[in-house]
Amino acid sequence: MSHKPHGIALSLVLSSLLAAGAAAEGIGGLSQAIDTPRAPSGVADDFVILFDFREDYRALSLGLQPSDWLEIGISFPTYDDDAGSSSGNELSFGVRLLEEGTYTPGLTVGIVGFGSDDRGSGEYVLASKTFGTLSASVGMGWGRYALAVPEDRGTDDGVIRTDHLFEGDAAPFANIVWDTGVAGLVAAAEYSGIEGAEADETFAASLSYEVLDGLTVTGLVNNQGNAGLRLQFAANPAQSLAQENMGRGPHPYVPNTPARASQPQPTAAQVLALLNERAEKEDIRISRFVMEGDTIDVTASSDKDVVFARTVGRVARILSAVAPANITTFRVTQNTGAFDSNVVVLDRAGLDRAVGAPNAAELAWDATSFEASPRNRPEGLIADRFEPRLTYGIAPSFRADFITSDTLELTGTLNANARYTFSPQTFAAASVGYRFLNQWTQEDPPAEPQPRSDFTSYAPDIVYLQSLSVRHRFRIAPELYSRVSAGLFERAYGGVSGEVLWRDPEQNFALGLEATYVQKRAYEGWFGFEDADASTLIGSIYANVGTNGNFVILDAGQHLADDFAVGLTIGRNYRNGWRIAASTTWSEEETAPLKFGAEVSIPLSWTSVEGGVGATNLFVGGQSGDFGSRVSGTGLLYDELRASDKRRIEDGFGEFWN
Amino acid sequence: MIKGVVCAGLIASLSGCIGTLGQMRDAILNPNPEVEVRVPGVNRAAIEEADLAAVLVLSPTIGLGSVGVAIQMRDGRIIYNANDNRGITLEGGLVYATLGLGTNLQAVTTQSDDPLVRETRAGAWPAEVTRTYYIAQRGTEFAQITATCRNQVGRSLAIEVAEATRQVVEVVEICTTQAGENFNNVHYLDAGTGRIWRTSQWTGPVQTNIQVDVIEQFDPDA
Repeated sequence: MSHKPHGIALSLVLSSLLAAGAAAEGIGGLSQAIDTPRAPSGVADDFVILFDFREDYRALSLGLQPSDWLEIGISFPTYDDDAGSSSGNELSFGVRLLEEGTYTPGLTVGIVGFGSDDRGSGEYVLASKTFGTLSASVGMGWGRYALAVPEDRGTDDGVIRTDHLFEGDAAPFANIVWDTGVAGLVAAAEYSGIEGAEADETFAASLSYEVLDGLTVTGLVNNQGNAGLRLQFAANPAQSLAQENMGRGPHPYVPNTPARASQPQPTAAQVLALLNERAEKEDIRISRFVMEGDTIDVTASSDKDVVFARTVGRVARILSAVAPANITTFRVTQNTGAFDSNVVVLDRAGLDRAVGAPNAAELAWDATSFEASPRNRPEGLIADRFEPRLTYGIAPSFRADFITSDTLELTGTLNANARYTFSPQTFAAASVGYRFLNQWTQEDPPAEPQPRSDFTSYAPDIVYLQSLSVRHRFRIAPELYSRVSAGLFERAYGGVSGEVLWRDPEQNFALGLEATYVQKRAYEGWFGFEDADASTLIGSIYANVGTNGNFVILDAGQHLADDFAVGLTIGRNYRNGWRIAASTTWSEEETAPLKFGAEVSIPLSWTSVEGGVGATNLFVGGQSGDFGSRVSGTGLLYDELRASDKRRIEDGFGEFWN
Repeated sequence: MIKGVVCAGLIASLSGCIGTLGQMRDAILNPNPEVEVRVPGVNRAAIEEADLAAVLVLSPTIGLGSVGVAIQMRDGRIIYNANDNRGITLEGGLVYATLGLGTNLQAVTTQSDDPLVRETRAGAWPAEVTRTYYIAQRGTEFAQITATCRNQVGRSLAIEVAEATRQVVEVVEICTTQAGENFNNVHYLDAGTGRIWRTSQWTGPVQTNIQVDVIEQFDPDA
């Protein structure tokens, strides 16, 4: 058996909650009965992770419903049959064209495996109707929904085809799904016209059990001699698992009435003392304070709250109570660690008008403007005194690897990380790793080192130096950010890298340019290099679009294989810190189908009332091919600055008064 | 034998990740049990001596009880503040806003003759009252939930509110939101004036009902 040469590499950082179970065939992350599709059954922002497992089929799928009528899925299946094994990488869409009415059915169309020549690609049209706790779908399918192993679909030498869509052999399907209402049990049965090994048509049945809130196990069986299991984790990022705002409340807001002007006014030192005392109780740190003229200027941060708008609001509430009456403007600076990224300017009179109103957040937003932080500012009553420090830690990671094994294989790696921070702008960091669970078998190095496909030539069963680099970040101008990095960035490359990023806090986009020169790291040992170098020059546009936290990142330029490639990432940021994104890369040298990756970040505060700025990050897919690949570990500036985007802060502004 | 390509660059930034994973697992495996409300003791004598308007606020969804004292009047609404800055804003007897008691209620708008806002004796309540609740969501615009409530006058009884006995009439409001969700409010009105002494009011789909006992009424002339 052999995998396709373009088999997507795949891994997933697993939490223990996802470590058990496996499943039946998923359909690209879209809504399904068993193997046949059904209408989207969730609401906007529903998100699902699926593990499917059968004797001859395994898949990891991610699905997101950006709106009530649209589903998007990314799936990473592996197939194993008499002809060998193969891996796919499927992007899928399901669109509900018609809502079902009291007497009329809904209408849904779907495309699975768009842009892929994988055998999993297919299309369908279905009508659906709900009868109480029973939902029924009937439709017609092409590709995977008509044939057991469809061929010649999707791409032609790297060119995406569309002429196969809804063409060729077609077969009917029908399914019913019944929510029994008993102990989280859901039963499903289906028919499809697909001819299998043991029968001309396929009948299947399944039973699902919701083990815990959001976690479901499904068992299935069909008349073709197949049985399988599916593990599903479902969540909605917009609906917190933990109730929000149940800790300490914010300081009461005190409007600036004319009567206050006639009272004795506090000095700057007194205001600072009160601000510090009260902010500390709310886990807000004030690292800079200036009171001059009619303005108070502070730098504020929270180690617990990911919603900066709420931190700003809480600082404003305290200042409303302690600031002298002549102060008309509160300036709250956002700091990312290396940079003062934004100054959020609040008009005090505007806040006075907003507080308590039914549209209080809108009015507060109207009273808010953004500025770039000046590079030089007057000395404050306090300013951060930075002490150099060493931080370190050990963290294991677990991943499901579909590529190094014919079965869903759990791999484990132990990483020891250390960082010495010289200043807020400069640090040196190192990471040493050891894969302790399910090593790979080392292959001979290729004649010519490759960007990615020679990864298995690196030595297994050893403690390896993942990275050792130094990074310095600085601002050239108020809106121009810069970085230089040097060292061993990742296991495959070491060298030097520089980046410049332009961002105006008032704008919803930023522009970046990264230039990197690297040498291929040796297959054996920690510090050596192979006789191969590469340089990359990649420009990026980072844009926040629309009002739902949607963003687009476009990268273009010379990549590691000396190829011109374009990368596209689209995703959605949520006000509570969730982030879901999918990406793909096209290269001028690439003749294989498009590959997709996905990234999910689940904030701690979504699951715990204790809050916190930490997050669980899941990455699947991503760069594994030789073309369209860039050096990782250089420290792209936007990753540090994106939490400061005006649109991100606006998204969280409903929390300003919380 | 290794087949295909082993992934690279797919590793999560793991600093702090394991702790996060553990807490995430715990949150899912151990959902919050039904909580028991911790009712704080109320020193009525101290409140009366200080001449403070005060309320006891109980949040059954998080099992929290707080005593809030009136600290501010803004636009005719009284803002009560408790320990840890938990707070509640009352417009007459209507819970207008909450802070720190769960998923905050930002505001409530209602009709001009809402009997919760204007003291109205039990038999004189309008047949229906429509209120709109404002709750933070993504962006600057609050989510709005409009509910219409019909009321039923119940029994007359004596209740104890923070060591004081009050003669009250029970009024139950049966409410339905525009989305078809149902909830009930229960009020205990002063038998003579219609002023609220105890009320359990819906404050949003997550925070649900909050109970407010009026320990000492706000007197604008005091």
